[in-house]
Amino acid sequence: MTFRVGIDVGGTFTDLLVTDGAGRSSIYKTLTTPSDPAVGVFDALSRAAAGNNLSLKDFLGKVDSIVHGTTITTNAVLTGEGARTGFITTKGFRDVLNMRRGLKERMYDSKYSPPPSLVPRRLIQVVEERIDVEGREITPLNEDDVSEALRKFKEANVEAVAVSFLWSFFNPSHEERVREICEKELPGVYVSLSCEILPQIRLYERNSTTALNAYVGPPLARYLRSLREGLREQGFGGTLLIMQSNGGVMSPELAARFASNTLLSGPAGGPVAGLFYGNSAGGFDDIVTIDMGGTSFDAALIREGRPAITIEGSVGGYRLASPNLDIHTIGAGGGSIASIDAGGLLRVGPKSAGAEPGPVCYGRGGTEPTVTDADLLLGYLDADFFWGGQLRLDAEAAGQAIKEKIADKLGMDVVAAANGIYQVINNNMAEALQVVSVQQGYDPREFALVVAGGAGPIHASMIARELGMQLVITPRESSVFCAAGMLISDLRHDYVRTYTIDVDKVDLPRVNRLYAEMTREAKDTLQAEGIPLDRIKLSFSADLRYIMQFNEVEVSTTASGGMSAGDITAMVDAFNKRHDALYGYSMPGAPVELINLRVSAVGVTDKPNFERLPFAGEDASAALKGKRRAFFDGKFIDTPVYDGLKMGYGNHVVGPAIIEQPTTTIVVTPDYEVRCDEFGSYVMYSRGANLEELAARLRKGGRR
Amino acid sequence: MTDKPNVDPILVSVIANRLDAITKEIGMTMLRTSRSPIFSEARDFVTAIFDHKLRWVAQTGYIPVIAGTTSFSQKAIAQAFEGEIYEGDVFVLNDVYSGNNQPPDFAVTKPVFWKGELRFWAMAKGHHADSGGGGVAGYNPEAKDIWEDCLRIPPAKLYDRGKYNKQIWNFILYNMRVPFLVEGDLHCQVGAATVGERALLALLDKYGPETLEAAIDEWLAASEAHMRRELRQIPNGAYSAERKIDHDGVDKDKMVTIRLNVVVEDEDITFDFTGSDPQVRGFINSPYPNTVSSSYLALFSCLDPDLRMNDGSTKPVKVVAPEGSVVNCLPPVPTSADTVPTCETICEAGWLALSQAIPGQVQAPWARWCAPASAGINPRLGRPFAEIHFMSKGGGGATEGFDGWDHVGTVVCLGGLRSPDPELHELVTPYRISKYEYWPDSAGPGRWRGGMGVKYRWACLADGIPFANFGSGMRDETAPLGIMGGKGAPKSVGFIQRPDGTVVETDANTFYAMNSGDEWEIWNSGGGGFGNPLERPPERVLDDVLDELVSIEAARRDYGVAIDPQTMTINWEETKKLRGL
Repeated sequence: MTFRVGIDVGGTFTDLLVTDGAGRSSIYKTLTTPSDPAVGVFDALSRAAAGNNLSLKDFLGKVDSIVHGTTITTNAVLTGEGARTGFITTKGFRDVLNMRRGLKERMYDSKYSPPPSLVPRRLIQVVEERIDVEGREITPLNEDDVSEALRKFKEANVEAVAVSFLWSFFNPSHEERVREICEKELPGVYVSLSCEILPQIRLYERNSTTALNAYVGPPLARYLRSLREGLREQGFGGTLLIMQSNGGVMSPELAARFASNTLLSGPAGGPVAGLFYGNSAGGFDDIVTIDMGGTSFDAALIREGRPAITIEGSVGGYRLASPNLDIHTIGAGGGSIASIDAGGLLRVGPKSAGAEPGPVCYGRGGTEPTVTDADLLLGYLDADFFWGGQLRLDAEAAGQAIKEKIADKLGMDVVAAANGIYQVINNNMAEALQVVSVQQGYDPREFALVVAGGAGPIHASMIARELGMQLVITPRESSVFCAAGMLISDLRHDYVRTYTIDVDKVDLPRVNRLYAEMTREAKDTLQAEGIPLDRIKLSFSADLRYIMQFNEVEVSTTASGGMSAGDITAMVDAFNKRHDALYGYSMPGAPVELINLRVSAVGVTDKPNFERLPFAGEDASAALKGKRRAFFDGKFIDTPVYDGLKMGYGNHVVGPAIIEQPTTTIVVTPDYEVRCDEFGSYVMYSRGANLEELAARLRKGGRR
Repeated sequence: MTDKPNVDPILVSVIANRLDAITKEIGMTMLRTSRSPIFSEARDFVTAIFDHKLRWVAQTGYIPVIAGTTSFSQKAIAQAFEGEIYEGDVFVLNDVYSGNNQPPDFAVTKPVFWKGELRFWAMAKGHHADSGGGGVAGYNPEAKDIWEDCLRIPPAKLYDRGKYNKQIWNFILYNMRVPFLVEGDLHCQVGAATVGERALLALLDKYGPETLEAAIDEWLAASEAHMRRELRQIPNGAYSAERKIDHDGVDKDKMVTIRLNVVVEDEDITFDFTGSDPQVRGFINSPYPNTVSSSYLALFSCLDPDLRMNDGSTKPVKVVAPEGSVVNCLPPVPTSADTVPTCETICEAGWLALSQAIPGQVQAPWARWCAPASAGINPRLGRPFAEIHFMSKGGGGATEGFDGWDHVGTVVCLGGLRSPDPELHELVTPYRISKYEYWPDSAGPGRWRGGMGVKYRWACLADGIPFANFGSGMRDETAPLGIMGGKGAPKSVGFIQRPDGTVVETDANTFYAMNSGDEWEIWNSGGGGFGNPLERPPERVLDDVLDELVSIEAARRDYGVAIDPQTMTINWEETKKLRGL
């Protein structure tokens, strides 16, 4: 018997999911230990070992692979505790990194400061050198300047050096020479070059991404070193893989070099898990995933099995321009606070009561009414079965807070006010879903919704109704969703080369040379990570724009990496179509220019089997716990409550209904009915719809 | 409240949030698809929604100076075509004497018909790379009348009942130096308005027009109540201030004065510009919509940032500007620089006046804008370009509790003006940038100091490129002031260096030509300081010195902080003496 382990270190909990060869899976949760997260990781691993009646050593000896999601880098940025970093850039451009393009997001708010400098100005040193717009050297590298900069860095005890020169992606020789000098003069110091981290046009974005990489590289490298030693001492001989922000995994060696690729990896397991559950629940590969916890709500879109990717990420106010899963996050969760604004209207969020003091009903000192308080008053939550009964909720206090702070001010009764909170937060979340779908040119009605997070399933059917989405899947493991996603992630690396040229003047051999270069790099990297050639999948794309536009649209180009003249025509057609869908117009025939070429490389890993349940028939009455009054469509209705853990494959329930698991509650509004699938996921669909027909329509190929 | 509203407050919130989100969806299209870097990189545009009664319902002011002008343009267009507005129409307007604020800011608006009835308008309005006339990228410092300033486009139909109106497109584009850019950006605006239309139709399908209208009534009333609550917190009184503009480009030895009296009476506020200079010959004259929008900018930036700008919240705000003055000009004077030096000056006067009433909420003046627009052919690409040199943005003013933001100017954008990327800039223009970094000692000292200004230098790689330098802040009188005991920042300076070594000092509102090998350098100032600089914690002054933002000399002179140049530490004893402690 061998095991596979997914470990997701989150802000509050470390989630661990173990699967065995027979497909059985088990969940373990421990508290995260921020000062040394490895403590929490080993704690979780010890519990998993005990859960399998093994010593930690015997358990780890049987573990094939561990996939690990870590927030080490994210926390380093958010707390300002990354490596002491020196930054070297072109003379005359010292402040581009800290200017942040001179942008102040909240323009009318005079009372806030920009994020503190990642690299203070005294540690930003300039050197004489210059490459021009066509990659030619017009000023040679002044090596004395480099030595002088490094001398200052040495004095300041920097642990990391980032180097980013103008146009280095066309001609990296100066950056590479700086690294050589650095290795000689500052041996052991972590070095990041912009031509490696993000060889792509746009100076600030490249500077920032490279500086972030240097800033978080040393802490991540240290953590991984000690984690691997610890695992080895405890008998682990399998593969360790690290979760990345792009939804793929990578080896610890690469993670240490490209540390910034983990900065937004926290929620990145979500879309991967969503795809898995969507696929297993009925072969869906057009999916929107949502994850609603205590303070935040994440939404992401997956089309044709591919999660949407963005290069517009940021962490702690610092731009991260490498490809990340496009996960849209807003401040909406169970702890979101409801208030009446100065104009007399109801607002919910983005402020949150968090876990401490938490919602009023927790009885831990919270005084501001929250979404969870409203959920309780509306009967969606059971005061005696929250977290499986571990926390008794105080409905009276919740009602009083909503009355005083909301209902009285609006001249409404308490229930109407609670329902108002419920509606406003659902609408906020529906807006977030529009951002990832409608605003990207996709109709959400053509997607299945996959729901995660403790609070998600309480609200999902209302969000789905708001957007006309007809199919909602809630996995049984929804509370350890990201850990599940990690276990099924493939290795993934993204490559980019800037080549700016009018499309009708494209030098095809140059394009193919650049693609070949990236392909070689991809294959070398993945093979070094132990992936055989027949498991490497490459996709090729390009960023295009109409001539003189300033933003690009990415379209896929060729299947093979060898572009022909015909592929160019097809690429331009695809660009026109995508532009129209995104922005309401296109200009067929207008000249188009190429900006970047991209290769995305996937190394397919073995997927764990998940256990399938035996068919248990339609009748869910064995799982019926009782009834309680819950608010639907303007009135309280006696609503049947089911024990989710007792529901079997094939069980069928018609809304209104409530399904309870220890860590989550699924609210089925009267518009939906629900069926349990063979993996134990709850598949909710529009009432009266034929599930098979609906599924066929939403399934891959169904609509195309 | 005795009358029970016919929509509940929850639905009002939901609908208002959606309308707000739609103005952002319109903006997203503008950001992503425009050609002129002035839209996409600098975000020099706004979006708005009006209802069928022409009420200004929602907006996103990517650039605040234009934010308050959309309502004027919308009303002018609707009135000009009364009885001739059809489904599928798209309108355009740039004429400042027909309801617009500035010639290069083209308003494009699309009526939204639902079941055959006009229900809404979706507007995208932004700064084009050219607006004809004798200017460069929309700016003509030598214009002496509106015809030298720009091509006048009165309300006109770009699309008539869905049909592309070839005559008007050709007419506009034949009169532009960079038709390619203007054409692309007009398409982008039409696309953006169409994105707004799609979203509004979905909203109409969902709620129907009656519910939406009732919700909008409530929403505007709530916004008005919000504003009135804010105004009640400003002490009643009359507060006055005056600020100047360097000159109008034509009469270069004459400064132009704007006088402002802000009168607060309970829940109403009046911006009264009586006493401002008469209109001038050059292009800094402000049509009424620009003066109103600039007044909104000054006011809203001092109040609750959650306050939304629409017909409700602006109801208690009155703007009085005598006809024929520089703040409410009459034909035929030119106006194309009104959104920059004139708006900045109005805003400064507004803040200085309000600092007498609510000092803690006001910011010190930001560095004024002064930099060129240029246009021509890039010989490397054989392709036209038009560009405003946004990389020379100056620093923001300080406010109680917070230093000003660095390189965040100009105040007309309140920080929404994103600096261009130097590499994309070099890719498109025939310029090579050699300097783009903070100007040490450019920030106004204060308990909270101003934001840093910038030194910016570029070489020209082509011959005969015209530059229209526009703005102000190059005189001692127009340099950023400090407030509440804070000190001012230096005036901005600029010069052109020719290959033969000659140096030409540049002035605001003047044309220059550059040839291959010429280099232009701009030092754009920092923001004004807030509060007595002697009260700034010496550790923070030392930090600025270590970061080479403030010199050791300035630390001593302006902040009373003595720093030992050998050890780079604070000499506390001497500091106490310098600070009189």
